Amino acid sequence: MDTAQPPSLRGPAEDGRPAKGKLRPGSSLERKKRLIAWAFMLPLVAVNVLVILGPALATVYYSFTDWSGLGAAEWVGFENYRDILSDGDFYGALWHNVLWTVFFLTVPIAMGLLGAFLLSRITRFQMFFRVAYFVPYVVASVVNAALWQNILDPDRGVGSALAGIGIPWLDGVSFFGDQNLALPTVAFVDNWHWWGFVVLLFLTAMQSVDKELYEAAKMDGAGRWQQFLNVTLPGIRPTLVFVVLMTIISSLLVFDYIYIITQGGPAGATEVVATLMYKEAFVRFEAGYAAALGIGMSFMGGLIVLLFLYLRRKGWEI
Amino acid sequence: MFAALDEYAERYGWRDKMLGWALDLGRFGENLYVVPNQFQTMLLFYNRTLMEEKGWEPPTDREELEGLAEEAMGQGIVPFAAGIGDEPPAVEWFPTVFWNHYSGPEALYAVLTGEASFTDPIFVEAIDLFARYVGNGWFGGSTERFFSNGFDAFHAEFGDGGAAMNMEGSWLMSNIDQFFGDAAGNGNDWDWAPLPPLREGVPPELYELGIGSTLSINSASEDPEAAAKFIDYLFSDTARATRWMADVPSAFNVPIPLQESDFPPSMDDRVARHLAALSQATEGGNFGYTAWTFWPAKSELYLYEEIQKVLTADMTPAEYCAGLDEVFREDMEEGEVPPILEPRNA
Repeated sequence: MDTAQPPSLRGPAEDGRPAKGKLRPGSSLERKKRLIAWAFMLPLVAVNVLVILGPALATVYYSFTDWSGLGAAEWVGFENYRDILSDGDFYGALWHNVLWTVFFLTVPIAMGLLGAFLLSRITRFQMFFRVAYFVPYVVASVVNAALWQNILDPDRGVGSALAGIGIPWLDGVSFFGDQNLALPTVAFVDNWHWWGFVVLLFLTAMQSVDKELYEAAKMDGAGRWQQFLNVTLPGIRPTLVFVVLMTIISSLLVFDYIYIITQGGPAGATEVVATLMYKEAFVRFEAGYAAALGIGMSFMGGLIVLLFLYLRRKGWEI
Repeated sequence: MFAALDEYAERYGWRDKMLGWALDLGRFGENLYVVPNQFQTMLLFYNRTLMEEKGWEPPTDREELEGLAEEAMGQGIVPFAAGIGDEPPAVEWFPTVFWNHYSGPEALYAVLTGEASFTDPIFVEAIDLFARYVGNGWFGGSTERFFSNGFDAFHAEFGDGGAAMNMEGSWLMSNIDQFFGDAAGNGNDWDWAPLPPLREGVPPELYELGIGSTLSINSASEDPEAAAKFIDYLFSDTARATRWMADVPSAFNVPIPLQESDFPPSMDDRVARHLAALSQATEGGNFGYTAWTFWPAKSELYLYEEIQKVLTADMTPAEYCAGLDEVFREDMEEGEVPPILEPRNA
């Protein structure tokens, strides 16, 4: 039983009277409190309508037009959406989003779980490691990108330095110029800034897992791996699900590191839907088509959220 | 909206003060709306110190260029410093060079006026030649490096002697000294030459014309007379204009008739030689066409986005040119093709 729940969240008392701390429905005091609450919320609601709902509705409208980004727009019905379905560049970019999603659902989450689990086992220097892992997350993406562009430079970077001490394998490798290496390398750079944040999320969740469960598991003879599988993972499930959901959505929207480092090149090897959308809107001046791409990606993101909600309703503990 | 400038051009005699083509380029329909303020071209820069050490001369035709490139590669020197890592659209410099110096300005004039097709062999061969040069590692050292090299990296390689030459726009003269000599700590020096013809029949000294910036008057301006007077002030005094050119290299290359002797002694003689040569050659009708000045927007976008697929062999030169032709026809039907000047022999 959850005895820690605050009074205001409790249900009505068993005798039908409002629980202590609750107001009678319809009372003037309750109406006043509601008005005050709305007064606090209204500015934020207004801002959201202005900067989110308004542009979102405008985007839906423009996705059915041939708008160039300036001037008048002519209604073209579903033409933009039909064009997307026959656009090879779109499918190529979408495939890169899928690869990106697979990478970020595995590498940073595995690194985050391992890092958090190891950190949760230590007390000395824990704060140092927490800060060290988190620092890349607060550094601007352009700075991180420039840093790694220099580190991975084929002539002046780490490959060249390693060659100088007799390890020649990375010498002259052009990580961002090779079609096969560019996407995983940009993902590596993005992951470098992201995984420390995941560590902190998981660490916070792990610290709230009941210590007695670990003691019980130990008494049952569970080793560290079994403790991790049977105590830690179930204990941090809500955080894990949150990270998975955020990873999928952010992978569908990924833009910054790719645009800064490769702008979708070489020859489209790192093109994702967001960079394609940007080029359609601001380089090709096909803002209507770009709007349709954006709606398409929002639709996919929405489907994923709905899937999570559906599974939760079905009783999945996520 | 821009104000029509015809009345001012006549009043101030701009046709006599400027190079002949300058006003023709600014005409849309019946009226003059735009005056070029900075013109530019593609040049062959070379590391003079390195070339002299090796006993090499700047190439004057395709055979010499390919021979020099092979010899440089054999000695571990990149023939042409290059890279589009910082700005992928900069790849358009190269189709511009190959179409002008292989296909030739007359063929380009024909295709840009709809009289020829980009699918003609002369255009496909030019792209094929460029792709082969990149594949050979002649630009930047390898295809991968061509894609990833940033401006500073390849300019530094050029200045240090890791690369012998550089096909780049005349704008490089504004900051090339950062990469040579005492400033760069390499003791090297640079020079430039016209890009060589890559096929017989193409003029040996050909400058593809590009416009870096233009001047216009807002039709809602409160004082268009003063604005026109200021434009005239920029062009009307050769000594003043050349002094500004010396003070702010490449930022202010007004299209006026120029001789080397017009420039002040403080002007770098290589820059003065370039500006005088460009002025005289283009005045004589000896010019080509840069993509960023004479191509319509969608065709230009196709040009620099899809060419990367040719360089990675995901598309053949013929497929690339066929796609470009299709986009260009659409641009032409929509009336998007900018004004074009006739070359000398068209």
